[in-house]
Amino acid sequence: MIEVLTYGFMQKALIGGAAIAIACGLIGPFLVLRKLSLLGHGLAHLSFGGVALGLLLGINPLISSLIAVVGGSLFLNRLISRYLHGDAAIALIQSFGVGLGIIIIGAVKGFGVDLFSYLIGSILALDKLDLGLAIALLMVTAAFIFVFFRQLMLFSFSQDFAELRIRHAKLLDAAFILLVAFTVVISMRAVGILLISALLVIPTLIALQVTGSFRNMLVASAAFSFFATVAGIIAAFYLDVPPSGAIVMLLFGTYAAIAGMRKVKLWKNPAT
Amino acid sequence: MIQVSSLSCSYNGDAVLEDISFDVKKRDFVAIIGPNGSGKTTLIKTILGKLKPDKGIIKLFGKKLEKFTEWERIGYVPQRFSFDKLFPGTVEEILNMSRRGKIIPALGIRELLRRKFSELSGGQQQQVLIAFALQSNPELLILDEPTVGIDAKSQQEFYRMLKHLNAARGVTIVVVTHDVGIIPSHFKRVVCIHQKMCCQGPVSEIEDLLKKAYGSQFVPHTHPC
Repeated sequence: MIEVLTYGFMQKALIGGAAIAIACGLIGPFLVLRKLSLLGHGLAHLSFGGVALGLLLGINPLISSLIAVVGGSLFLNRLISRYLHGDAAIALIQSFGVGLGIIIIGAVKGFGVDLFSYLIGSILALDKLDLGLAIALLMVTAAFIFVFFRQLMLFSFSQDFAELRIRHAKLLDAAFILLVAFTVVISMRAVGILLISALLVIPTLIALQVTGSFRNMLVASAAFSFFATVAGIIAAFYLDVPPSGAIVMLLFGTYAAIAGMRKVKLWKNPAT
Repeated sequence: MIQVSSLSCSYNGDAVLEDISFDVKKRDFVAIIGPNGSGKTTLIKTILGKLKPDKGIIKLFGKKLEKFTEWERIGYVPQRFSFDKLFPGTVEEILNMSRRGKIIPALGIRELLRRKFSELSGGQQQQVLIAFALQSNPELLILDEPTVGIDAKSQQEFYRMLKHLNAARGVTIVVVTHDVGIIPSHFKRVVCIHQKMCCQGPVSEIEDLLKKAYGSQFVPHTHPC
């Protein structure tokens, strides 16, 4: 086990992965409970178009995808608040991102490997910039949730109550969606466009099964996300499999195991 | 507290309320009544700034609605409350979302504080929502069909509590209902609305007001108690 920690790339992967995992675990509950589980998925697909555009224009894909995702998230926020249901708005944005990416790939036919690394993630290749961004993301996310915990929880409970009770509710909502946008872009390098929503959603689904209060659920979500990510990276190192896939399999396995245990418990003792 | 002048609202071009005017004064205990589809909920949503009127002026605490920002002075419980069944918050956490600190015991919810909101019955959830609205010590409490799903005994207790809030704490209370039977024994004034029609008066004149507003069209729901 110690051997893993002697490699620089593994140290970066574990520190960066842990920071991203905790940030996603903290944000996830506020998405899942507002029926916006696929927001991360949609924005990640939009970032696919952004990455492709960046590679085409010779811009750092992180910057091009950040511009695409931030712009897209603000547009999405407007669509959801005025015109469309969340799922329809997300599908619209997601389709646009993928369509844009496919057109650029078809036109250029040259950066298949680069784009593939963004699709499935390359946590073992995180550089210092990625690491710094991941730690900054964690700090900003934790501070945002600490300051606005009651307001965000109220949004999760009832959008109507939140809009009535919270001054500048729309501004806070836009700030939260921007935070999700930054999370998607920064996490993209580590876990990949296709798997970001797993880190945003599955830890929350696990935590919801084992906790009896909102606060505990939030802590548990971050904890499950953290342990699955660290364990997934280490398992991937020894088993020689892609880390993002290992992380998602561990999360899914944990969810299935806990759901199964609850079913068995219910079956043995229907009164509980 | 509330001044509504010449208010008109529509949905997709269909008029829901036309030229409605009424007011609610400090310490009032008012029932807004009308048959299904008469625009009661539209009126409340417009007063709360959730719907934009076609024309008319609404003032809250003397300020025009567009300039009103002190929403913590108003407690509101909606007619239909939908929430995610996965929501894991306890009753205590929900009340703390409204105002951190001492939980105000309302409607005997003290024994529910540690329980998950999603695991409560419909009536208990309604009790928590009312307690949530009261938690910020509102000066004006607006309740839209608040006793739907609550048994008759709890309804009596609920209206007794509202009367106490009105008399002892001076909270102005507006209740939207189509349960006419409960009005004489609990409320001070009645506002009858039906699209173009709006008339108001003391509760002692409720029968005249109903006739004036609805003629023979309105068959009121009566309450068993």
